[in-house]
Amino acid sequence: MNAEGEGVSGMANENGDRFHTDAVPREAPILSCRELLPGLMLYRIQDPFLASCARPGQFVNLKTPDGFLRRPISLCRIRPGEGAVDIGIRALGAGTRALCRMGCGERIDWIGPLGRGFLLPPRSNQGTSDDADRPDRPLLLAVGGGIGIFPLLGLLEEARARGMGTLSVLGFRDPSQAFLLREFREISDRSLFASDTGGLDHHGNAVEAVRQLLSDPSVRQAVGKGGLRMAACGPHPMMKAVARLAEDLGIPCQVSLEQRMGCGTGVCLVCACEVRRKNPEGGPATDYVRCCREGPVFDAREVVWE
Amino acid sequence: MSAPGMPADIAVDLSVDLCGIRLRNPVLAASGTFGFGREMAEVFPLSSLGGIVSKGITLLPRRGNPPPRVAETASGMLNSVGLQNPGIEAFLREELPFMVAQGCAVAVNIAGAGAEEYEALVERLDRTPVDLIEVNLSCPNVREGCMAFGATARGVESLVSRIRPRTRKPLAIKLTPQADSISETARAAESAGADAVSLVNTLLGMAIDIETRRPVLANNVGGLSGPAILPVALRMVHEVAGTVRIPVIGMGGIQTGQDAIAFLLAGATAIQVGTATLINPTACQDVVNEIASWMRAHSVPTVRSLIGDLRLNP
Ligand SMILES: Cc1cc2nc3c(=O)[nH]c(=O)nc-3n(C[C@H](O)[C@H](O)[C@H](O)COP(=O)(O)OP(=O)(O)OC[C@H]3O[C@@H](n4cnc5c(N)ncnc54)[C@H](O)[C@@H]3O)c2cc1C
Ligand SMILES: Cc1cc2nc3c(=O)[nH]c(=O)nc-3n(C[C@H](O)[C@H](O)[C@H](O)COP(=O)(O)O)c2cc1C
Ligand code: FES
Repeated sequence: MNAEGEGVSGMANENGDRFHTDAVPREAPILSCRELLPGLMLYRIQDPFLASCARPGQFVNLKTPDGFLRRPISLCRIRPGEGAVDIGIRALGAGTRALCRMGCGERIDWIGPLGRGFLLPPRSNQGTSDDADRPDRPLLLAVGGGIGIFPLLGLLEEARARGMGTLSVLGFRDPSQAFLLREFREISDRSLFASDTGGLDHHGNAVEAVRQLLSDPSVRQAVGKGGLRMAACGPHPMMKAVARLAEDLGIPCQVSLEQRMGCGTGVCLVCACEVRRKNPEGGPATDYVRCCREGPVFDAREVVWE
Repeated sequence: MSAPGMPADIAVDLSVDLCGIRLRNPVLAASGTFGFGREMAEVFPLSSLGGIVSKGITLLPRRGNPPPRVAETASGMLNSVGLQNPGIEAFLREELPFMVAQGCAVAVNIAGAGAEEYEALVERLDRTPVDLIEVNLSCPNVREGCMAFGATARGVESLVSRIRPRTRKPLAIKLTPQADSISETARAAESAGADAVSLVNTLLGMAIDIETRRPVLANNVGGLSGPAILPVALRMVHEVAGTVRIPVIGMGGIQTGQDAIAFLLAGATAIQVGTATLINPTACQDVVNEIASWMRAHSVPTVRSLIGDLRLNP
């Protein structure tokens, strides 16, 4: 096991958050499954160890029934009380299609938790989540699109448990493609769902919806002493636009990047993400770092966007 | 236990001598699939292995190729990492002390764009606690050097004779399966003073996304590894072991103790586990344990007795 998570991202040190990782393969049974949409499954999987130490934004690397390499999947909800975690899988290629055909009682071979997840400010010691109007309560705005919304659900749960205010903006191509709306509404003090074709709260994309939400006077008022931070996960263009908006508004923002992976544990270097880093040897100002180890969650300001 | 063989608690001797280096067992972690050992040291004690081989090291830091750098293939994978590494100085400062503290043999894999770079690298490694220098003349993922030397006997001979005088460390020359003749490149390495040969490195391959009509890898091509290449690697190890007198380090698709034993029988003195670690982080340790249990089950007291003990059909 490992303790990392300090000193890399600009937001890392404020509360000494650490991310435990574990790469010993385990088999874990599927407790329940729910088809969210055709080709989109939500699984609850029993793994008390994982549930006890994983943090939102971390991922597992799991074997598919016939694939060769493992496939990385983000943790959606982490339920230490039940010794279980939820993951959502979209059938994209052969590997994820086979995973989506798995049913209750079947066992998944996985390793995890892996990677660095989202950083949150320390649990507030002055109050509980009931203090909804406390002026110094920090706020989290989660912005997601497509399957990128999965890790944000667990993140919002953690944020609320830490006494933060929770806001969410989700973007979908079409209302028929939307999922987990009830869950996001429940875990958010304010939520705004956007669809490119209309039919949800906002007609347009997630980035426009973020602008709309942030211009709302009651939200502006809620951004008190505790400040606002953002977290984004979704399609690359969406995260890029959210990162730019956050930078323009001076709001700290974390993004969860995706890269094709091999090991997921940091040994093979295939999962390169380009970030701005100080290079002790001189050399270029940007560097390839491992999505699976230094990421998948990065401070948006250090990401080199294509 | 009623099965024939030795009782489970009888110690079997897995140790081998690899050009003067005593290895606890013949299993090494292959270059590029084990980092510098840090991540896997959290998974199992590296002292349970014969040794670990570093990621390929160059004189200066290298960024490597743009992503995507990986594609899955039938029973294998393509990679186009492109020798991303921190450079020799940072490696010696930051990584080597950790590697030598693990209690197993340490090999450093080196790669250069030209003969001068290889010379400088072996000179720099000469007075370090490294047990073995593995000279990569077979990386398919960089434009300059490397495989250009490994493809022909003449290239191997000229490169090895230039670096040989510059270090007293044992040199293992890592050969490409894409040489004109691998027994000739192996022989060239031997006659130029190599202490061992390592084979095989990856085979150059390609994967195409037919929807986008583009190669999957940003680099267009990459090195094929994993069980897909095992039969080719095994044949080459057999051929080379029959040609040279120096020890052969065999690799290519090894996932189990049984696979490893096949390489030993083909003539390898030690073996490396590469891609298997990416799927199963404990693969190297599992291979050690599986070799030992196979030996017990077959009443083979020493692993050395397996090396080259292949009985060819008449
Ligand atoms: C950190 C991380 C977290 C992820 N979390 C989730 C999640 O919670 N739920 C989920 O459904 N998916 C998630 N993914 C994406 C998932 O890993 C890929 O969809 C999966 O690997 C594709 O495998 P396949 O065999 O189905 O597809 P393949 O047959 O390998 O490829 C089919 C298609 O998928 C694309 N693809 C392949 N591998 C990846 C990859 N690693 N990332 C993105 N696209 C890829 C290919 O470009 C191709 O178009 C995550 C990826 C990463 C890196
Ligand atoms: C991701 C990856 C990176 C590699 N990097 C190196 C390297 O830096 N130097 C080297 O000599 N071989 C490198 N190799 C080749 C392996 O060490 C090994 O020779 C090859 O993969 C065949 O063994 P395997 O099938 O067990 O993986 C790499 C292989 C992989 C899969
Ligand atoms: S996937 Fe192997 S280093 Fe990240």
